[in-house]
Amino acid sequence: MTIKQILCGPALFVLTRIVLGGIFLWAGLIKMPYLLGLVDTIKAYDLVPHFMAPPLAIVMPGVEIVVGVCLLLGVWTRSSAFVSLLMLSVFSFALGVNIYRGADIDCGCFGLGETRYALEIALLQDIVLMCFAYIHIVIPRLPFTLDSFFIKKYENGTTFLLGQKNINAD
Amino acid sequence: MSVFTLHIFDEFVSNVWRGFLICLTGAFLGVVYHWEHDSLVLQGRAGNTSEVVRLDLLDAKDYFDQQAALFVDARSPLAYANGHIPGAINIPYPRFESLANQFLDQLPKDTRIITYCSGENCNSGAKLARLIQQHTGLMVQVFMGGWTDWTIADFPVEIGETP
Repeated sequence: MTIKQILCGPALFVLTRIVLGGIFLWAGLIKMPYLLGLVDTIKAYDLVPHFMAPPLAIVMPGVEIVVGVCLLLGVWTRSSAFVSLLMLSVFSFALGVNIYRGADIDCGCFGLGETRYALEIALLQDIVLMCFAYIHIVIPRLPFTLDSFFIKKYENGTTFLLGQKNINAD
Repeated sequence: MSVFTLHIFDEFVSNVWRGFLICLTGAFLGVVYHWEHDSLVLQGRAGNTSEVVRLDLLDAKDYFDQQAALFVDARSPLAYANGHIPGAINIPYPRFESLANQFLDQLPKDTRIITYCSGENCNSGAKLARLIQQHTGLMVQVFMGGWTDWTIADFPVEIGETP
């Protein structure tokens, strides 16, 4: 199997989508019940004014869960990849700034309070995930997604709420 | 501008709108979850975990001088071995579950516990304080200045691993 075949086949798209979506869903579900811990973590990152921390802590796991589910099911794949890319770049920025500052905090990426995720590892992981999201944004191919199912259904001009025109749906 | 560029732009805009909708749904999910579980700031009261009291350097020093409190170091064992407040015990935040029984359970009920970590920019001290409070019901306070303020103020330190 040549590299070209791997890149053009569905495996790359399915795998990256499931890894990205799974990690987002997992992270969101773990963080959701620990509101106060997450508020502390956001305050410790020291990038937003402290009164902004509680609303962010409420919204962030929710968005992670929705993005994760969308990616796993393949609903609005490209848009959720877009949102995940945005979130990952914000996270990476926060991690980068705190690595530069030499802050002694735990990442808080998955659950709160483990130190086996050093900030550098978390940053590296974010960058890899950003590449995954980027693949789905620039190359809109949708093997094994609900999107492709609906696009076939609404092929006759209207795209309804789902799906993008001009897609090479498998 | 060709039809093609317009089309790409169109698609981009609709993707952004969908992204916005996704964020909105997520926010809604978060609010509903925490509303249901009563865990909210939203409703104007601290939830089931009360905020721990924060101490500044001089208060912490007072308690230290009177020997009226047990200091708990939330940093890593390595940082602890390199220097800590005299008499402090080391409970790294990630290892709370395994170390809590060893240190905390035989304490008298009127013990005052003061946690600290490396300084203003660390959060493990406050989180450890909250955990200890939930776990033991003792009075727990967090010394916000932490190790940084303590050493800047040139207060006594102790070097060595946990006894």
